[in-house]
Amino acid sequence: MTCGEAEPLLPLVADGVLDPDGDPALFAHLARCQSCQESLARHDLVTLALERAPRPAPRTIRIPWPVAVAAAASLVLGVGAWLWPGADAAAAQPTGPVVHRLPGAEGEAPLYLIEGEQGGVVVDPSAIDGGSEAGAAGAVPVNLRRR
Amino acid sequence: MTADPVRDGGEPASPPPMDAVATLTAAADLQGTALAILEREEASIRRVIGRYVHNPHAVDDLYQEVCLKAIRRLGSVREPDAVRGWIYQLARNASIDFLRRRAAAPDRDHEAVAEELPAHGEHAREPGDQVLSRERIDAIHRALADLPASQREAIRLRIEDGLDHEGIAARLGISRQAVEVRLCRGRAALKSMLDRILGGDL
Repeated sequence: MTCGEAEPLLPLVADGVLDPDGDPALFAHLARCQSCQESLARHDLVTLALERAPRPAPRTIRIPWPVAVAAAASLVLGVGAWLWPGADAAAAQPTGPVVHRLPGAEGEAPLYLIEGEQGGVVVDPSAIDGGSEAGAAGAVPVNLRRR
Repeated sequence: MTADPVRDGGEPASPPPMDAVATLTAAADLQGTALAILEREEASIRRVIGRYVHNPHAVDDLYQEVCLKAIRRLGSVREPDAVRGWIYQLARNASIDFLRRRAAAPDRDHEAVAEELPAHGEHAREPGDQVLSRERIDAIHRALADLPASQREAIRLRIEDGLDHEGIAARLGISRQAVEVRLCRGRAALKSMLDRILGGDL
């Protein structure tokens, strides 16, 4: 028997309907042919895999597209408003720190006031760009007078 | 001087009929053949087991199991020429049964079974190599779902419901030959998909 003759029979061997008593020539070939042994082992691995239950598919929640679009737009606008230096951050995050853009002296970069619940910090971005120590020098704590 | 054949109970034994002598001689020849093959083919038997099982200790145990079964069940071999193929089938069945036992053990899951499954050829048999990882098992199930409905149904009835070919034929209202065609085509497609996975194409 050749490999070409054996290969079409291997699914039936894997299925358990062919055995050495029923087809001794096929199994004599299998006993000496490593290629067909490997092929039959693959068939057997498929059987073993199918005998195992697959993992349950992950649950998906279907959202109507208008709702999804509105949610995505809200997220983008909210993050953008919080990150944009000139934006009014208080509207996007009213309970967190509030950033104010302060006009700088003529010919100089503007300053930023980060206002928190207990006080604030005035930040000079040009000083921060120079490094950590310069950044420390560029942040000046200030006391805020609460209304 | 020749010793009289004596039974265990001390009664003289009558000579065995010629048919029995022939049977015993044939069995002795068969046993000698099997033992010679077991000795000569130890490496190839271990290689067959190694196509299914990685763990070297498990391979040792399974080789011993195959030898014991081969010696105990010699009577079921009808043709001496078939002994080698019969021993190959013993090694294959022992390996598959081992993997099924490991999968069914309560403290082991699919991943543990996958760890035992071999990679392609003689390569990639390092510890921890998982040929049939959970992802690949799931991929084979997805490939089953993508088969033509006729093939998918035949394979599910065979593997999940445990029906034999006649039972599947009766359930589907088709001939046994048609069942075998569907099973062969479906299994070949799934095996090709596994080949692509193990070959790195997927």
